[in-house]
Amino acid sequence: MSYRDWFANYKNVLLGVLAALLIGAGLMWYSGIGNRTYAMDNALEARYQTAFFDLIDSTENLDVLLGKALASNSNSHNIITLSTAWHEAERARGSLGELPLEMPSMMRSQQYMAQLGDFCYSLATKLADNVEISEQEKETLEELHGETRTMHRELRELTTLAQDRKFRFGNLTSDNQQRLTPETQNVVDGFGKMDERLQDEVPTLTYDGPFSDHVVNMEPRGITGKEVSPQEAANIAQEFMSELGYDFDTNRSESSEGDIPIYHVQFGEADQRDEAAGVGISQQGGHVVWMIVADTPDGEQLDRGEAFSRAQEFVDDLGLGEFTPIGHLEEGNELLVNLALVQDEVIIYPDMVQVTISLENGNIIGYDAAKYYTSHTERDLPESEITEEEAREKVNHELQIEEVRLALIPLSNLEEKLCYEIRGTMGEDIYYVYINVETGQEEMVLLVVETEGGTRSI
Amino acid sequence: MRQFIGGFILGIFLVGIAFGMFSAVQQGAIDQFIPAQGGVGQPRQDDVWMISRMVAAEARGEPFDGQVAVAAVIANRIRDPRFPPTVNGVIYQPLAFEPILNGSFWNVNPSSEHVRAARLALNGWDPTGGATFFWNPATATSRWIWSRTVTSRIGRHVFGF
Repeated sequence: MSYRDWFANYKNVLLGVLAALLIGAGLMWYSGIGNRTYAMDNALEARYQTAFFDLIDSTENLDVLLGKALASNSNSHNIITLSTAWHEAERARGSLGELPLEMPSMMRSQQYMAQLGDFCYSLATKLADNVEISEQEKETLEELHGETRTMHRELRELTTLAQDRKFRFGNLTSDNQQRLTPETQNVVDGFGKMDERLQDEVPTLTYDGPFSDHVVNMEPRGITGKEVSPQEAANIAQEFMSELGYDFDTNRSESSEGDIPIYHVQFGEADQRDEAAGVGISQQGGHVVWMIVADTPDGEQLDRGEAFSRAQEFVDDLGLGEFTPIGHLEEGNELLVNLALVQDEVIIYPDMVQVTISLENGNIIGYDAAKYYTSHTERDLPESEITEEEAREKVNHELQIEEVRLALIPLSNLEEKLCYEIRGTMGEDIYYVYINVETGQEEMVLLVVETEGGTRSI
Repeated sequence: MRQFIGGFILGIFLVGIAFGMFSAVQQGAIDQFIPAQGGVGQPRQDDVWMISRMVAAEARGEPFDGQVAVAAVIANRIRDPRFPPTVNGVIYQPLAFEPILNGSFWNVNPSSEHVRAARLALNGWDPTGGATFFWNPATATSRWIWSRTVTSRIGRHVFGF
């Protein structure tokens, strides 16, 4: 039978199939895709609304908790209250981070919550160490209580706006931003005003915690010397790279005003990106703060021991002092080694440098001394009041002690404590316990985590 | 007529199958891109992967220190109280990054160079010295971003606080 005959015979069937395909596809498309989008929109809106109302809940709880902490006379009770407040502040911060608001409306509010939580945590820690809360801290807590109360009130006012049927958080995301309804705009403005008020009214907070302004705005201590010119910086960088065996032409030297003001010296021609490298030279003193070579090692020719020796040799040649390896990580055909300064047989953890070595050819392809230059300073290490024997006694008796060293450790508020670093095992896990040499107090406990590439302590 | 109806039913059947397969593929695609949360022992692997995708999406064709700089901005935000405290939180913060808004984040293929840039940044390398913002002056549409203090310029991007 020829095609034309076949076609003639089954023409109606084919018409039927075609009709069905067209109608069916049309219906499926319209209802199927349309429905799915609608459902997703709603699910997302539900998430946003949850975040919003969770935020209000947390702020209300904070208002209550801070008030109670001020009203209570019981330190042990306050430890719990302030810890709970920290928890609520973290939740509030999380909720803020989930709302589809532009940066300007939210950054200060998030910072406020982070600092508030941090501050409460630091107070709880103090109380747990049997230290009284100072007058200054009490005043700060009162101020924060007042602020939180105002914030709570402002958010409640936004609730009535948010409950308007025409309001959807979803309207705030990308495409629709040009066509915000007045109801939505009011809510956005409300957040904006709250954030602005926080900027104006809440002063800088300085306390014992990682988000304290004095920690976040820390000045680098290890940068000393005279100012250098961009050209001098480029020369220093050139020499540094030559000594590592690289043969680059300097391209340009640009100023970069970050935490440590540097001249960013970039090497390599534009079309030879394989050899490109960048070096950061401090504007004051011309110190090499960091270096990166744009090399992605392909394969492992070098063994780990050899790579370690090269890293050690490189750091020894820097002339910054004596360093010892404190950790390493092997990933992507490169070995990263962390080294810390050693002073009078004490490991100075804050003064740390990092080196990355290519396992393909043993080249130094990365160097970072930013932490060293931020923390390093002349230090008078205190005398030990506690002997090593006494320190060993202080440790949890379940811990099997393997090694004891002296170490200076940084706390989250930038204070540095000289401790006995006691490495011990408990079951399968390895822990580092730090006992203060002056007070005998346990300052920190770290768990050593072994991963495929190396070890980390957390 | 009967032939027509027969054909019609056959057609509906075919459409149903096609749609069923389409849905299954869609579901598979969505599941594939939801990032896994690492446990205590291996958080960094996932963090590196997440950041490397943003580097691939935002810093394609940039010099290597430009790529590390973009990754460093994300790492800096994690430690900054004004931003969420996790890699996922920072990257997925609503309205924060263009590749999330336009979906390109889920379509990029990070190269080993992008992964290396992310890893260096998570280990502390930071050519920007602490910047928490970056943008391309040629294409930035937000007026607000220019109220930020610019601290450095690398490749196509400027960086700042």
